Amino acid sequence: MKRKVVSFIIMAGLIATMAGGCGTTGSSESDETSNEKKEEAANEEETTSEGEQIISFWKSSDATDGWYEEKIEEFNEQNAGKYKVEMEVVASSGTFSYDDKVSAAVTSNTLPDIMMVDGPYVSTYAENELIIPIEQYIAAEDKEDLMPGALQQNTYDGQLYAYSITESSVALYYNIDMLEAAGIKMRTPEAPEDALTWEEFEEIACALTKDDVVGTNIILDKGEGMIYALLPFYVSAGTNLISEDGTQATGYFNNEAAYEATEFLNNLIQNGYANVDPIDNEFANQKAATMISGSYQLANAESWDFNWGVTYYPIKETGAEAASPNGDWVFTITSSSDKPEAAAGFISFICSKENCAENAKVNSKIPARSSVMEESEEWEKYPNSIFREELLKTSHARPSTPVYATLTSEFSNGLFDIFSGADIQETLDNAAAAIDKEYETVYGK
Amino acid sequence: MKQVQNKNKVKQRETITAYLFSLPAIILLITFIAVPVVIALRYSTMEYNTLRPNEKIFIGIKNYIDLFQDQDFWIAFKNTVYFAVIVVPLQCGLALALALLVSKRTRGVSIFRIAFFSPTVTSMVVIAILWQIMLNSSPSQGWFNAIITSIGFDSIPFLTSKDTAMNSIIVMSAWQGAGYQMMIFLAGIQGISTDLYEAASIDGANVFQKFRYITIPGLKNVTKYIILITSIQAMRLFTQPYIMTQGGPQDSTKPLVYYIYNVAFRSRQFGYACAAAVVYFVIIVALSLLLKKVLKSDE
Repeated sequence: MKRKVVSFIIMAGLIATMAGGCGTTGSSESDETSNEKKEEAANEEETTSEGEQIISFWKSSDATDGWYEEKIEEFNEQNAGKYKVEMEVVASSGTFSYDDKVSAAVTSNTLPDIMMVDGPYVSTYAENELIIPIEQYIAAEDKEDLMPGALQQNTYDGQLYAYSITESSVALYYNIDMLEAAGIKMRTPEAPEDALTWEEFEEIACALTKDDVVGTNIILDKGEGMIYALLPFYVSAGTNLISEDGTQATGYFNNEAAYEATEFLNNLIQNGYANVDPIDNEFANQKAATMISGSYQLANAESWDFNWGVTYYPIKETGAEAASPNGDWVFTITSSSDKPEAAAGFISFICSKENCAENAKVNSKIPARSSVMEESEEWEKYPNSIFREELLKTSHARPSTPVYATLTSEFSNGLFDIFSGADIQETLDNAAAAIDKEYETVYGK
Repeated sequence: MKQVQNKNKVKQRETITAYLFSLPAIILLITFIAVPVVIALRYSTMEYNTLRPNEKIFIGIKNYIDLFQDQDFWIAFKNTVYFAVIVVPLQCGLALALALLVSKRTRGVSIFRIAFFSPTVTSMVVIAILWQIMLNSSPSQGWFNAIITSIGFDSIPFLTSKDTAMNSIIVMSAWQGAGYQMMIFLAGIQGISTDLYEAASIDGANVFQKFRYITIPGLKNVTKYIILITSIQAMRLFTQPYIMTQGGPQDSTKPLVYYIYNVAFRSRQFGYACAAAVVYFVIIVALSLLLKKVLKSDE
């Protein structure tokens, strides 16, 4: 008898706990009423025992995680009793995983108050009203202080949706020792408009390719890094991959300019001047003699035990448009936040001039505020000045379109298909059609 | 009369207890299988942008019609079937061979057992990254190509050519998974009575004959089980292409699960992805039933 009673109690306990679990799963149906209920429940939970309101904050992991922890502690001390920022660091690889997390959070209605997003996603999230305009919360002088490229990327439909702390750029790094050993005298341009032409770049890559060393490295990663680092080849050839209003890819993604840029990149791979799947740190390990890579490499450069230099992003031919990448992760406030003002307060704090300068140093990134950039001697001098100059003169934001996620994955997948032997024009045509089809299906009505 | 009544009562109580004990499993099944399937079925009839969960539009079976006309879906289907058809016999054969190798009770054999089993307990992500490096198309970076070129052959673009990428993933997957099936085979082999082998030896049977007429029939049930679980696992292929090839080159390694993921998260067409998931679910269930029937029929 006793045994029966005990087993019954255990059973009842088990069932009760599971029924609780069942309840939360059932509410994943996102009817508006259940959403509201959930939000209410969430708000109740969003206070600490000291009555502080919790501001949740997502960021993608990078070298500044520790810095953010310190700053958040500082902010929380200043706002003790009122607000408490809680950061969640999201491990982000090159394969769009952060965006996946955002999508999943939207479906389950669990977006944070503040999230950092990669620049080009601002347009997508803004179009879908996941993030809110923040102009009213940001001081006018702070807005004006943003570098032109950053301001362009953070603005959608004429409104400011995001604020930047740092910026980035990409240029051509080269191994001086290898150039000398090969007896090559490389031209060192004085201005971005005078950058190496594709032809010069290819000649150097060809001359430096030997044994187990490739002439160049053009692949940052197999995800977002593709369009980020390689878009300037397309811009210099004369296409931005999509129409200016971000609604049509056919005629832009697959036009003659796109073909030329793709063909050039493909030749680098097919001729063996660049690896299609390079190992990590190929340039640092002296397995690639040059590389197209970001300003953040300057931080790693201290550990390179060879002589190196950096020059402007190559241009198609003399007189062609000079272009260079820009953009970085930016702060946004989500539409599910019920305390946007407090959230904006944190953004203003973390992006203040002092913090902007500090963060840029920690991450070897370029400060996104013009005033900080102007005051910083570091960015006046070579090699940093190359990136600064590019950012001020030739930076070109990645396309602004609500179907950006498809555009970027079509771009990287398409290029890898071509590198593996697919027909260039056919691949570009198919990609353009896929982007247009999706725009039509999701936003075309 | 009283005795019968009592007996009935006891039986009734036992039935109730039995149901109560199976209740947790039933609840778990409902929560994690039945409810998601029903939700997926519902969403599959809707146009649903992942980023706009409050704007779902009912469109009936349009998603299904589109799906069956979607070339990408069929490519993914074909890739999944190809993977399963090749990897199942390969992996099971490898597992059996390994199990035979380590079934002898000799000194140091446990080292081999652990070695063969260890890939199974290692995360697939870690293994995929390691193999990606080993399979690198450049001889200076990929170990396999370093060996191949050192003996005078051209390097092979294992993961960067549409002709070789899927096969590379198949070999890696078989290598990774075989350890688990090896353990099951091993248990099966050890369950076969040694008397049978002794009797066969007395009758003058050679090693091959013993394998053919004792080991294989003795492992019949184990083999059926292994084929069934390996096939279902194979249909769920995702991690390897996600890490190693992103479904490329030219969609040659894009399986169904990856296709569903892509539609839901890159194209943000959640309803359409649910339709694909429902079709995928039906395929898996049908395959399981079919395999069960086929394997049962030769009993």
